[in-house]
Amino acid sequence: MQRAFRTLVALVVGTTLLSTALAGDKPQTPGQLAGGEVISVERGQALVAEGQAVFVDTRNPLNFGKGHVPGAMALAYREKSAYADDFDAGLDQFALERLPGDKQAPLVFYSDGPTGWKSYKAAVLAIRAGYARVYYMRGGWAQWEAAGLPVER
Amino acid sequence: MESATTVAPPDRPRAESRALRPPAMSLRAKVGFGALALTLISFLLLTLAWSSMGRMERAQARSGSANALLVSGEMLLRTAGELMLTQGSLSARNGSLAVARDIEQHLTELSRTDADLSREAHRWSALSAQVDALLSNRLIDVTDDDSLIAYGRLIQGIEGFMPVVRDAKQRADQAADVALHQAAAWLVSGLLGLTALGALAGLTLVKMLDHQLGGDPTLACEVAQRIASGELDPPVPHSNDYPASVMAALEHVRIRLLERRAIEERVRFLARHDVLSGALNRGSFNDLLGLEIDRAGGGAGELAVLYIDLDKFKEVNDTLGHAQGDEVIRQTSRRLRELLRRGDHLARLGGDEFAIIAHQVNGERDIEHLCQRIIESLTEPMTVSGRAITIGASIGVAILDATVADQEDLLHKADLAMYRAKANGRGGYSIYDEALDGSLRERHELVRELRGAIGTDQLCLHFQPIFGADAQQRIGYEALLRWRHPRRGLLPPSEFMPLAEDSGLTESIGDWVLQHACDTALRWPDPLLVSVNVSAAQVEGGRLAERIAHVLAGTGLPPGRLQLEIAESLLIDPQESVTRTLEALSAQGVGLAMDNFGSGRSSLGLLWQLHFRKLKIDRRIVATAATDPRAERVIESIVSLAHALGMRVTAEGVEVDSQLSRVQASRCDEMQGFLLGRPAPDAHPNGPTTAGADPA
Repeated sequence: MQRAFRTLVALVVGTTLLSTALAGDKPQTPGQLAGGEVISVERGQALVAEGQAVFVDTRNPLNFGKGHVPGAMALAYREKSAYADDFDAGLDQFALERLPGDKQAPLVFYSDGPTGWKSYKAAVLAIRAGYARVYYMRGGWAQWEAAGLPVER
Repeated sequence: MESATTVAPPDRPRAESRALRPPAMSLRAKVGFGALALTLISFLLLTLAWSSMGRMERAQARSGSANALLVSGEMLLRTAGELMLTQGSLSARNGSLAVARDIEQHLTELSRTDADLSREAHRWSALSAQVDALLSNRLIDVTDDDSLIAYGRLIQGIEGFMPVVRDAKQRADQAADVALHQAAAWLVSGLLGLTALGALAGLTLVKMLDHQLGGDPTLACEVAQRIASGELDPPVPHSNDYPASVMAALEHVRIRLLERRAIEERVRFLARHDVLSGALNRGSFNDLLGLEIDRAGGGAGELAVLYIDLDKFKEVNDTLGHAQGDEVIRQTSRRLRELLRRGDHLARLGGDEFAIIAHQVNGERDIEHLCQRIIESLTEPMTVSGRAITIGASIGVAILDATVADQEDLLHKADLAMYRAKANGRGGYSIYDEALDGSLRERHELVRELRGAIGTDQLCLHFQPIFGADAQQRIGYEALLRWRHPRRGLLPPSEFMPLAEDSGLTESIGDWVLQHACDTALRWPDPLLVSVNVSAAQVEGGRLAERIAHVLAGTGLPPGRLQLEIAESLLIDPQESVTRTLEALSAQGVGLAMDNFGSGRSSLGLLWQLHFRKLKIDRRIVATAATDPRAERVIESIVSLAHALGMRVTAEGVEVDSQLSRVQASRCDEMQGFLLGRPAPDAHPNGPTTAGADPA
């Protein structure tokens, strides 16, 4: 038990260090979104208050489970394409059909943060699918949590 | 506990301070109270320790529980991960459920005492719900979004919950720590109390043992040393500090030693003293006298020995009995002791002989004064058995001078002086001088020889014939005692009988004379009588009548043929015993003749009362009768007086014819004398009976 616990701790620490190292290399998403609007977390919070927009959490469901923007829906973006504007959407999986049918419905996509390409790519795919009001909350969960905005778990 | 023994002033002797100290609590009580207090304290401390041990155990249990909770939280993370990775395998499900149960159980347990935790415990219900939510998924898989979301929620919940658990654990640990320290403190102090109790018990045991074995041995040692050194008079002091047993043992020893000392003193006294009189005995007197002579170192005039002989002791002993004789000895020694000066010694040397060692004698006057006082004291009547008895004493004194060789010599000289005192008349004293020595030595020698002569042929009887008035007819013989002394020749009684009387030999000599005279007379023709002289001592002795009856019965001599001649002097003031004896003799038919009548102070009044049959006129009257006509008148008067009283008269000492004719003219009935017949060793009754014929 003790030994297992120690191993687990080592594992967790190792993973954290690795992900940090990887994050350092990960490129940031673009600052603009063609056919959509890049918003800050404060704007996102305002949208939540308005109650009109549908927040889409594209992160891994596990992270969603850990905490998300109130009222957000979990719609994981299974990302295999490169972190670039010209990503190959064919490599990825994203269940666009689970988005609201109303193409005029305001959608707010977010993932981990400025390096979270999942929400960017999902927003791009949603625009491509014809959704008119797509918001990309680039600060993502990281900035939302850092700003101390309401969280739903 | 012994603070009380130390408050005594240091300058005071220890034993005294101990005795003066007011009685404090006894050792037993002090120890008892101390032990009770210590026991109570220890009991209290141990009870506290016990309860805090309980608290500590509970705190430890909670701490363990909190630890288990923490581990279980982490286990929950792991089992949830396993659940995800194994796609909800049964073991992972059971594990998760078991962990959840554990957590719930520990939480409930901890929440009871931890208010902070119980406030936060509600989080668990959400968390538990999340576990249930995860488990309720139809398919649990890492690819399943719902599973992942539920898993994520669970992890988040656990992470949020863990700090609460950690806090609780920390609090539990702290509480356990505090409880542990408290318990340890109580336990240690309890144990310390127990240790103190043990130490007290040990000390008490040692003290008690010490006490039982004699306590502080100082006083006991002092007392024991005092007893050992012979100081037995002060009793053993009583002290509360010492066990009664030790002091009682010492006291017992002291009493036993005292008793033994008294017995030893008694034994020493008895060994050195005469039991009857309490005076020194002869042995110790001799030793003491030797010592005193040595101490005097030959110095003259310092030391004198008084030899005291009671004059009439023998008579008292013979007539009244030995018990009365003993009483006389006791009273005599008491009187003598009163006269002694400090440092003088009294001894009883034998039957009625006492001796005194007198110190610091200042010349003969001093001694004479002492002797006078002794004689006066002993001449005063003593009361014995309700009867007044007068006992006199004669004293011989010898004063130590250069001529004295040793103690025996000194005592012998005192003895000689005593004999001279007796010879000079009883109730006197005499101081030894050189002149005394020779005469007394001779006298002593003679007594010794006389004693040896009795029963041998040195003593013999001569017989002198007694004639009738016609000077022809022999009536009988007078038996006359003679001593054929080997050096001095034939001695008449007058030369040795006074000695015999002083030496107590009278009776044995008298008995022998009687026996021998009667034996001889038996060989004579019938009417001849034998006349035997009897001394005053024999008559006064009281046994004479009995003795004569015995002799007569033994020989078969008719009593009428025995005549006893009794000196006139005996009858001057006759005692009752004398008249009784004379009566008894007369009753036996023995003839009594009064010897030497007219020589002394005869009591004419007694003449007819005392059964005398005959008067023998003293030879001095007869001797003068030839020349002095008045003497002739005296003889005539005596004869007519005697005849008037029915008595016969014998004339003694008829030596010449003129005397014979005077005597015959005076009508004397009988006569004897050298003219008629001299005393001879044996009588010749068958020979011629006429005057002038010597029986020899």
